[in-house]
Amino acid sequence: AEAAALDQFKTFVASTKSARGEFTQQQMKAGGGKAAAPSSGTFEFARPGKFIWTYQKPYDQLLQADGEKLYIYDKDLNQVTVKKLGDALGSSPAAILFGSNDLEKNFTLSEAGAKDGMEWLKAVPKTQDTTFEQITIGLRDGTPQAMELKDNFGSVSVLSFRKFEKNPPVSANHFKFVMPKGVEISQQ
Amino acid sequence: CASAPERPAGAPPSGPVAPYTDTIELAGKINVAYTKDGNQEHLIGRFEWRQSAQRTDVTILSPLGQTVAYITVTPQQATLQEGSKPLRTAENIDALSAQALGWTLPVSGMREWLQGYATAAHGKHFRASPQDTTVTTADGWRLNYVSWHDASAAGEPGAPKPKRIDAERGATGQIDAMTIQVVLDAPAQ
Repeated sequence: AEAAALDQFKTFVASTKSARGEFTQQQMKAGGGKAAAPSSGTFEFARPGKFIWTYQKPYDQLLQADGEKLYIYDKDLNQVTVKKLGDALGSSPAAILFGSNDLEKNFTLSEAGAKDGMEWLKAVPKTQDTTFEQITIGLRDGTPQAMELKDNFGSVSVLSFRKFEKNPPVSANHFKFVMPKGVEISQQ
Repeated sequence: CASAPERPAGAPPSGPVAPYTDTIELAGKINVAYTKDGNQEHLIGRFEWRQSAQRTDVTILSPLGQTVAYITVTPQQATLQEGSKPLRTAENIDALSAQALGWTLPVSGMREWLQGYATAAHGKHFRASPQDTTVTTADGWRLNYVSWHDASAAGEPGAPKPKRIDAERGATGQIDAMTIQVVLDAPAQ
């Protein structure tokens, strides 16, 4: 049978230094039902704390972390916002998958059983100040296929991943952000 | 759906925006530059907007989709829920959001602006179009309709839909200068 979620996740974290693929994100209202149109795009990450999260539809925005800083590039506004990575990554989906390895430091992990052909891992934040009430990660064949993030409002952000490629060849400064010419820079 | 002037698909958007409707759902990116306790602050995030005749529900989210605040405005009162903090209620959203978020979300104005409408000085009605893109509202907001969704890309050569809207308010009295930039998501195909 499919290895339990916790084992799969630990193996995933230990064996995955970098990954890339496509994502779809759907916000669900507290009482169920879709809150807004789904968004989709591509993601790349390398531990610890490097990622490129690109929203393509229905809007355009790039979020890139080089391990120290988070750059948010908004083409429509011709603007790049630069933030310290620490608090910016916070408890976002990126932090769970791409952050430092020890998820168990900040979350209590437990098995949440099988559903939709995946083994699910439940992660409940140990500290109360994070924006999440609960996160569940669906794994299959040792890689995360879906994530559900329930925030303190009871609304849930459902992420699904496709074309998940583990440890693709990535050049050393692949995650270094190249500031586009002529953009307005907002340091925070 | 709203009757709109016919226009060959693919032609650049022109002509005025579609008629105003008081029931609409929109979503987009929102950037707010404001001053709080003397220093320049900057919020960058997403918003979901659900408007009906008597009520407006606004959800403010972080760029990666975590809910930051949930605002409800009716003619009688405004409520704001922020993270796990207790629900706040006030008569109007201006005081409430300034107190809780540090910047004022001009919800009543945005009910019109997001669709390309505004009320200028002396109650003069403004209807935006790619040819008529700026107005100063009666309560001092300078609006600039910077870009438009190509409605024909959405398969129907209808009226242009606002995409990027910049709203700027100068510092007057004890109100600080503020800029709200909104980029509305592409209409569903």
